[in-house]
Amino acid sequence: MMRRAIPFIVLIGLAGGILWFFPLFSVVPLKRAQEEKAAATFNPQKFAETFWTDKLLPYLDKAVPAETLLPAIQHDPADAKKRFARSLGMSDSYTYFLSGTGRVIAVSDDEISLAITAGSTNAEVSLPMGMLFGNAIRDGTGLLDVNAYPNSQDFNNIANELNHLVETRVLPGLKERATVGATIHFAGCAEVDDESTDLKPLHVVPIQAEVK
Amino acid sequence: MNSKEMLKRLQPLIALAAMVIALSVIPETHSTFLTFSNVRNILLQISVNLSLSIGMTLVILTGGIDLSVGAILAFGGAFAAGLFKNGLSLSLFGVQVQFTVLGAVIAGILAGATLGLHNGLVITRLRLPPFVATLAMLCIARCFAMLWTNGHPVSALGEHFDFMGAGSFIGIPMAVWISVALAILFQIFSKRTPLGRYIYAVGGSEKAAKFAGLNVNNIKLWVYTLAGALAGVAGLIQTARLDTAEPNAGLGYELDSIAAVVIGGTSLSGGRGSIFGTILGCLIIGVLNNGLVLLGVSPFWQLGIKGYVIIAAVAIDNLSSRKKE
Amino acid sequence: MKNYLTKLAFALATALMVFPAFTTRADDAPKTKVAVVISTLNNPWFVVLAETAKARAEELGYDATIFDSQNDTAKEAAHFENLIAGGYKAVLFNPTDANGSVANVLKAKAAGVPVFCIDREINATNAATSQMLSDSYSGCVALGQYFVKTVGTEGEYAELLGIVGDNNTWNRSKGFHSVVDRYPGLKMVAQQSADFDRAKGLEVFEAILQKNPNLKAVFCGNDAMAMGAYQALVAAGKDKQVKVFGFDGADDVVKLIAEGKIAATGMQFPKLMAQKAAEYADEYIKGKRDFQQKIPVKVDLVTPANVGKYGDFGKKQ
Repeated sequence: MMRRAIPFIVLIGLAGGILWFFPLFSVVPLKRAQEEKAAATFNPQKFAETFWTDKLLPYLDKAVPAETLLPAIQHDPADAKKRFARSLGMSDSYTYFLSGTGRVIAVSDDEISLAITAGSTNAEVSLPMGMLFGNAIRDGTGLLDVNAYPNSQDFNNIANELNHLVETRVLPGLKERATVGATIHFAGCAEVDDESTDLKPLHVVPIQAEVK
Repeated sequence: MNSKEMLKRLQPLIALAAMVIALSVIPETHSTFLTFSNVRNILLQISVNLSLSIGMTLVILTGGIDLSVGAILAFGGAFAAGLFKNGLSLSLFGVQVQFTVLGAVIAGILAGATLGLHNGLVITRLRLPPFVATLAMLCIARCFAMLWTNGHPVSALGEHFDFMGAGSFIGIPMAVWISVALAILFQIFSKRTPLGRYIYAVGGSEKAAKFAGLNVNNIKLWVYTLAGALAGVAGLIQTARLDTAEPNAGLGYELDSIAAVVIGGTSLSGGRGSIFGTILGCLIIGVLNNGLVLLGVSPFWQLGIKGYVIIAAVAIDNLSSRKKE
Repeated sequence: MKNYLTKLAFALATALMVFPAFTTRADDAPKTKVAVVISTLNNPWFVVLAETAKARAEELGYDATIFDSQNDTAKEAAHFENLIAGGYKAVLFNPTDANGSVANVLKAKAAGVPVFCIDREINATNAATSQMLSDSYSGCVALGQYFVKTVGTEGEYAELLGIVGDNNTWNRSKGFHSVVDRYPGLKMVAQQSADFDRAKGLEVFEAILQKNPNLKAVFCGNDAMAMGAYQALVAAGKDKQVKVFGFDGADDVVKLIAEGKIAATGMQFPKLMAQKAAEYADEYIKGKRDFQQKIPVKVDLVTPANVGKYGDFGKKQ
């Protein structure tokens, strides 16, 4: 009986030896595998937070002053677009990156309306309240390059996270403190899709807004 | 073998030779057809179909048919790619099983073989016609592929995995080595081993085979399992070549496979034909596709021309066998 | 002997069958060849993309051929190998798979053939010479905002997804949900795939309508499915009750928007992208090398208010 078993034992031994050098699989603890995976994927939330503190806030002094921009748009929108605006890819839409000080002339559920030029009673800038969508902050400053993100879903998620940061860091309490007649110093980006409705007032998504 | 039979076997070879000569001579393709890179491309492009068609030949030789090879290709490739890239999470034991390339390859082939075995069991035990059984498996395998991948392709598999499809050995692509080696292996298998000869016997006449004492059911089980395993191999080659396993890969591949087998001279009623013929059939389709593209023929025309080639191949085969009777 | 003749006849017949296809081509001096590799010709939107690219390339003086990948990355790989061997000098490319198509583009790059991606992206920035991509995500964000404006903040809606394995399907769905999911009153009662196909859209949506009689709206991942859903609504007599939202900018949907029957769609600009790609290829062949890697093309929201500006797969000039 032992004689008959020998070839089988040899076979199993050989198979075992081969599998030792050419394994079919390896076993890893689950937690470690999951951690390694998480570290390798792009985390838009962390990215947006780091970008906000390290790159965006220090860049605010590079914004175009509203006193320069608004009259330029008034005088010649096409020229203002050429000089100050940024556009992503092929599109008729563009974004302005501006800062300024304005006087609150109206407050509603959707927005705070500001007048910039002295003595004006028209809303020249409006700060949106409520939920934010769109790519104004992501594309307005020119600090982020679409070419650096092989997967455009990552680039889109950054816009989401930046909007979320505005909603949680800039907007809370703003509406309550912004009473008619108050002065607000702001810096932010405005998207222009349709020149007939988006230039006056400019809808500025604020990166910073302080009520004086 | 007498001269008439030899002639019949050489039919596809002569057709192939005629096409090759035509394409080497016409001014439009004269300088681009017979180059090393173009011939290499043709062999590379037929490698997946060849792997599928070996199994399909065996199935058709028994008088059956397998409509599920495309779907099994997709599942086999996706299964292997998924195991290699993401591993298997066994939360019950708190471990993640990471598969090596070898492990993933074996898993893929076994997956294909299992689905093929399922086909065989449904045909032999439940007595469903092969057409119906494999048509159902076409849907089932596709479903498994979708479930396993969650509908998304599995990509970026890395050099080591891709080597079996995209790598080369002394200038010839691995995919060509694998498919040709398998073809030669199974040609010898079908002609020189007992099981191979039994396959022909079953195709010739099931009743006669049964009277001769052959276990027809077991032979069929083998044949469908092999077809599934080879479809798994085809899936691995394709996944490695493209560096991606798509859940909807292989759509319609069964038709190209049946076309190759039929053009190669294997009869759909079973018992007659050879894997050698199937190799020629794959080459004819490959050269035809390549030639039409080099000639700049519109993609709409290409489909029609392929259809007529299939008709012509089978018609001439029928005519010549009728003449003998 | 007779067998021999039959075989020769067959072989000759094969060769002859091919003749009519190439005698229709022009026989002047050999022009530079440009390839248009399209993911599928089964969808009219892609047919417009392919044919505009071909036409523009021919206008610029090239010989352009369309290669149909039939939504199969393997066929696409075969096309790339054949066109590289066949001496094509540029590829205007509509990929089948954002990850799977990268290998094909790298093959072309290694052979010195520039690849310009149109409409769909590949997940690599070092392979294609340039990529002209519809910004589907942002387009659907705008569509989502309009959805909330017209449907309200309360109600049941359904979603028809495109091909599940396609990046565009998820770009559009995610863009839409990034807006609509923030309104808890809007409930998605059904989400099914209709594979970007009109007939399947009709079938799938009929079933959804049956199960959800109080549906207020449906968001479809493309216009073909939107047309299918619309026809299901007309047949059920519910076209006034349920608002239909599509995506693509197909002619038939734009017409229905003008009639107020469909609520909105996103206008992708296939003609613009295709023409630009052909022009870029021309510039590359003439020596230019510095191209922007990713060029997002904005998708315009088309509603009854601005539909007068759009038509024929683009803006009316």
